[in-house]
Amino acid sequence: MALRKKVLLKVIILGDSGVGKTSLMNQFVNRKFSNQYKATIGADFLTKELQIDDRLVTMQIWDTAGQERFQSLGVAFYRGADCCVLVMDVTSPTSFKSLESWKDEFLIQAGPRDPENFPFVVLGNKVDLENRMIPTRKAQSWCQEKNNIPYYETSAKEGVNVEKAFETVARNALAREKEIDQQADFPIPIRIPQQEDPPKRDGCSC
Amino acid sequence: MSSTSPDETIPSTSNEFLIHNSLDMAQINAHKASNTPQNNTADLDSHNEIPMNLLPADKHPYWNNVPSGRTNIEDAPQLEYDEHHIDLIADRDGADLRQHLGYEDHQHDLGFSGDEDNGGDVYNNESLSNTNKNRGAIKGNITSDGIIDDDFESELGGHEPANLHDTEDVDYQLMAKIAEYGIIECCGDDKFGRKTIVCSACRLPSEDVIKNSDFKTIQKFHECLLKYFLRTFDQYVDVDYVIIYFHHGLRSYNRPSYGWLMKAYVRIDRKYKKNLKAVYIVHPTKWIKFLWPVLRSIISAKFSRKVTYINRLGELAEYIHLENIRIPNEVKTFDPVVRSQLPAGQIRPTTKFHVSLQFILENEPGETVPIVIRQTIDYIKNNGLNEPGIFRRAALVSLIKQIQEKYNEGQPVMFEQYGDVHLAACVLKTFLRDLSEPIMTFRLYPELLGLSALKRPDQVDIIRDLIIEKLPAQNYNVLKYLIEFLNLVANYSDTNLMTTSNLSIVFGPNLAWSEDDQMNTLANYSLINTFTEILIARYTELFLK
Repeated sequence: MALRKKVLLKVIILGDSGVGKTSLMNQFVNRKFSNQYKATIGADFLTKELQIDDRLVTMQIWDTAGQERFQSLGVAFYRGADCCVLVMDVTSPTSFKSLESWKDEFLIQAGPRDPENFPFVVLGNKVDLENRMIPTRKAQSWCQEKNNIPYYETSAKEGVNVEKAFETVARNALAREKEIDQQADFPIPIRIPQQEDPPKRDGCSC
Repeated sequence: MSSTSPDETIPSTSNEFLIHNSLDMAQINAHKASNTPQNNTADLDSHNEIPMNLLPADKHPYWNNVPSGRTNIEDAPQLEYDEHHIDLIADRDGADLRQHLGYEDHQHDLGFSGDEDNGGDVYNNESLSNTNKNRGAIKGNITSDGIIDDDFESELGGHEPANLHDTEDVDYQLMAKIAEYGIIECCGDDKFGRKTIVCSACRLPSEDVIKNSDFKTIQKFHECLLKYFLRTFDQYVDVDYVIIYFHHGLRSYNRPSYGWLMKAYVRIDRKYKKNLKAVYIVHPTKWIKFLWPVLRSIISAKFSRKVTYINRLGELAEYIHLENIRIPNEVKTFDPVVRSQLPAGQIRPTTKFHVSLQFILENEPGETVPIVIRQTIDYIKNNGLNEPGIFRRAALVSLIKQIQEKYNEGQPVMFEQYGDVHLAACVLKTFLRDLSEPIMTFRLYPELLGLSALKRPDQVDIIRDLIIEKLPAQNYNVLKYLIEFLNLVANYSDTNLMTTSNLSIVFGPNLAWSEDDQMNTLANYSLINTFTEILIARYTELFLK
């Protein structure tokens, strides 16, 4: 099959502060991990091209600040997203409990078509740490409840599973695009019966 | 992993995309200096990806047309249409749509730019009927995302002839009844001399009321309502006019059906839109924002740009002489709730959140620093100075709310019982953020921005003068207490990792923000953070000399 058009996929990364959103993005795009501890201001994005089967895909990955104060900025960043990555830290029960509200927040703010089937991917980050608090089973069962969201356990620090997770992100976003294409972007036009021309009261055409 | 190898995944640095982009990206780049090489690819989609607060006010993207996602890279925007891209997207969407619907290209402007001001006259006379047919067909398309699933297709069937202006209308008396509700009223001129029409959702009667009235059925009521709307507008649409819409009070039991709204929209002829200069939506809710992507697909971009959100009645005063319009009482009483202010009835002397610093201190006699600040700081001083990510990490929202309520009710709060220093830290940040006016005050906000932009050797002296001379004494005392503590936290950054820079990122936005939400941009956040970092890092010079 001939190579088709390039596609741009917009991906949003959400999750509590300090779970490793920026690190995951940097690991995926630049294959680098920095030990520097730095809070993110607002939001930031990086892009990366990858080949998914016969398609060249440009992923535009938006990293957002977990700080509450920035959340009001959310709507502008979320809009038009093709996939949303929810990140938690497997050593932080709080960040796991927050997944639900991040997901809701995203759906409300972004208002995607067909919210039930909007592609999410959940990442349990920092699996390289020893003081793990969220067992894999617990995270998986949450994901299953939510319409079978794919779940990956990652380590941005050691690059574990990061590539694979983002490839799933791209694939699911592409699959959704295909579905929408097949449904056609626009519904069948509603026929408005045209009024009789000229109007009845108009006597001149008699 | 089959097809993704490291060689294929190169960060893009191609410049070819830049030629498609004429939008000024300087602002967004300002805070993105760290990853410049990757920005270029992103630029190709910049026309629909600019964060809202980076845009000038007149391009507020709530109301700009943003396509629903991916953009094909090869679809280079046609710059000759409009260098700002905004119309372009609408045009492109429109073009796709028209193609889909099988319209010829020459109908292009007729169908989609119906309320455009320029070139209107050409079509006005000769092609109006044609225009309306096309527009009706196009604007009817909304079910793609399934959010609106009402069966309005049948309602749109349009079996009734357009006898809206029939003077012998049998419904004449019913129309008079509609007028009594005051759902729409004409209220003089706005500040630019344009006729003003006020629509109040809270005055829509509920279904029960309708059934017990002369209308008998809801259908009849809505039919009359639409006629009344059009009649009222007929008196004004020959000159420039504006609509003020009070959204508060629209409830499930009085909300017109989507089908009716669609029908209304289709009925509204170009003549009503042409002179409509602005729509002010007062007290918009998440519901409106949620519905917006749907509405956007039926309302043209040009119409969208006429819409302004008004969160507080005070903001409306910029455009309208408030004394001229009759604001429903329900709306007036609702207003104080919007933003962080509580309605007067709910404020108790013990209330600590969503009130002013002044109020809190008045109710804590003898104290210069509110109890919430003192208690959270004490707890963190004793338990959290070495905690990694203190003030950055989140706490459970349910617990934060619980503690807020305890404080508001005047109950004692024991952080020891929760055993989480991040909880105390989050309560402190929430407290500052919920103040009805930030510690740094609204008045000083513009000065803070200007000040941070300067890189002067005497910056510290200027800041010292500013906070001593211009900040109210109450605020100064609280700020000093807080910054002294943050300076202490930063001293432990070897273990807690919270350097002055990190602390300024998480605290800056809680110390200063603008009353005007459009000013709270990322660029301005950065300036405020710079200011905050100076406060923390130079605490001794600023506060102790």
